Amino acid sequence: MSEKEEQIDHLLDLARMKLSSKEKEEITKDLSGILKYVNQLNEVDVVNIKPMTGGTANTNITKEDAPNDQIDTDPARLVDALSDKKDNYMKIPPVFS
Amino acid sequence: MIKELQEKIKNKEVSVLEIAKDYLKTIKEKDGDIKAFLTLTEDLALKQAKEIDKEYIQTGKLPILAGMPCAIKDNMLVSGYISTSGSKILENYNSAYDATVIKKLKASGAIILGKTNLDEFAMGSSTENSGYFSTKNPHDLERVPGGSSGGSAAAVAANMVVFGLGSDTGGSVRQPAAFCGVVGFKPSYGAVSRYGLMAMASSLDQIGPFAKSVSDIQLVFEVICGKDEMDSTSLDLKKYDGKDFKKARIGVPREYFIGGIDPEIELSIKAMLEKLQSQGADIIETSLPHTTYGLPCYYIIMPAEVSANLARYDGLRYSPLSDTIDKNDTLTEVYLKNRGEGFGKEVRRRIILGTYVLSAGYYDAYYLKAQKVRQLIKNEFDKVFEKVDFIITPTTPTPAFMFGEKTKDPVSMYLSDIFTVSANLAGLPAISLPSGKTKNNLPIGLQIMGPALSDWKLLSFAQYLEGLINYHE
Repeated sequence: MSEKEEQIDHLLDLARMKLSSKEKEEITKDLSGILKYVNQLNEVDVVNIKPMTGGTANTNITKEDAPNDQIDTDPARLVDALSDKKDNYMKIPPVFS
Repeated sequence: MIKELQEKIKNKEVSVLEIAKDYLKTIKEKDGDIKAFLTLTEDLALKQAKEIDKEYIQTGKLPILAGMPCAIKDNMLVSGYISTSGSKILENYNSAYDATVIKKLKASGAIILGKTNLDEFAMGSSTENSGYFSTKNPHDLERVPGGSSGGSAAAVAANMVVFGLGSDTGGSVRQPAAFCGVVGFKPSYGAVSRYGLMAMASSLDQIGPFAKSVSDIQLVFEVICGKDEMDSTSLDLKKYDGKDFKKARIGVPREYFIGGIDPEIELSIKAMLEKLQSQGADIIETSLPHTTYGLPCYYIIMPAEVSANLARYDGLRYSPLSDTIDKNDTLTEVYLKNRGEGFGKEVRRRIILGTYVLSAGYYDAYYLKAQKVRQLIKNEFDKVFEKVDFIITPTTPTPAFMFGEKTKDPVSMYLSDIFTVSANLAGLPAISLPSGKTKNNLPIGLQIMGPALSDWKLLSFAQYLEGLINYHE
């Protein structure tokens, strides 16, 4: 397996997505094209620039440590849509094989 | 339009229920062609309308947006109704609660008529990436309405609603507003609560309104803005009480008028600048040298945040399971199959890109570097705003393009947002105003940007410029 294929397989595993070989081929090509475009940033001198770490300069915003009574959803409404359920629980396949 | 309609309600010329029914009728007549809506919330709308009429008769009180029909982009939760975010992976998701903006709209008397189409998980600039169908541009049904908030923009443009809500991460309110010939506003980061907005890129997302006029935008913004306990990045803005913009200092960055921009768009913007100047404005040529790095910077930071935000969608809850799953599959196998099939192409692209730039060995070169370039871009704006009050640019390099024109090469689609992304990176407020039409009758959008948190001043100036544009026509 080529290095590129291994890399894509690794990324797909991290991202928990399974693709057909045709889709894998397409996404590899797309990723190459996009990376080529974003690699422009290599031209930029960022010496002494601190990275931004969010959308605002706000820090340590807190709220009261009290129960949230805003969410009054009836669980039945969410459970209704589940494909596999028992009582108010979602049934999932085994975590370990 | 809002003020005029409300006068009619106050004078008892029309009831809120009649308005709601009338707009629902328009939707039924027009939306077969335009396809702006994914779900209609008719029961909710009629119930709300009846309540407001009753309240008005009993108390004579009409809340600020009473009776105004609106459309909500389908990545915002309206309790009791499906919210898909334009994705198949959420096709059965019944919204668990009202987004803060929805709570506020309901309390203000707005009538929610439906949820609108978008590019899947807000990823796209044409609404062609919707997991359901494409929305058409009401000005030309062979062309895209823009994206990702194409549905809301089209609904307002086609008079199916009075205002709409969209979300803007890299231009997804302003670009479709420009393509559809309506006003679209992206507030400063933090101005509007994101609670109940399905997150795309948490440091860039903002909810913003569409409407036919700046005064309508102001009324809607008044209702939806404000600090919210449920969104720790939200904040309150200061109001603006100055009025005279005749002598405003307008920065025109040369990097936004580079080759590749449609000549009719350039002419339209320059004509508006001349008009401003003739009234006394100081038009100052300026430079934002790192403009060209905004889009590559965005296409590292945004996918990185996307890959984290979309990790929650396991495909086990709100959509049919992949039919390749068999009973011996482990949970991991199920995730791999559901997600691989439940997400569309563009979403998968951005998740992979985001995973790559955050992965060990690449984080410094990509993500960390991009966050530094982002700071550089913000610093540049701060410097320019020391000498100018507002920056004016085209909203988009071209008018609305044809379906399929940009779907083959992802980067060519990304380039539609070249003028809009910097405002998201720097957290600035930005608005797109319709400034004219091309010879083919396609709308042209003019973008105004202001310093961070200057939203109310920006809106006042936008109203002033809108007056000049309307007079000019």
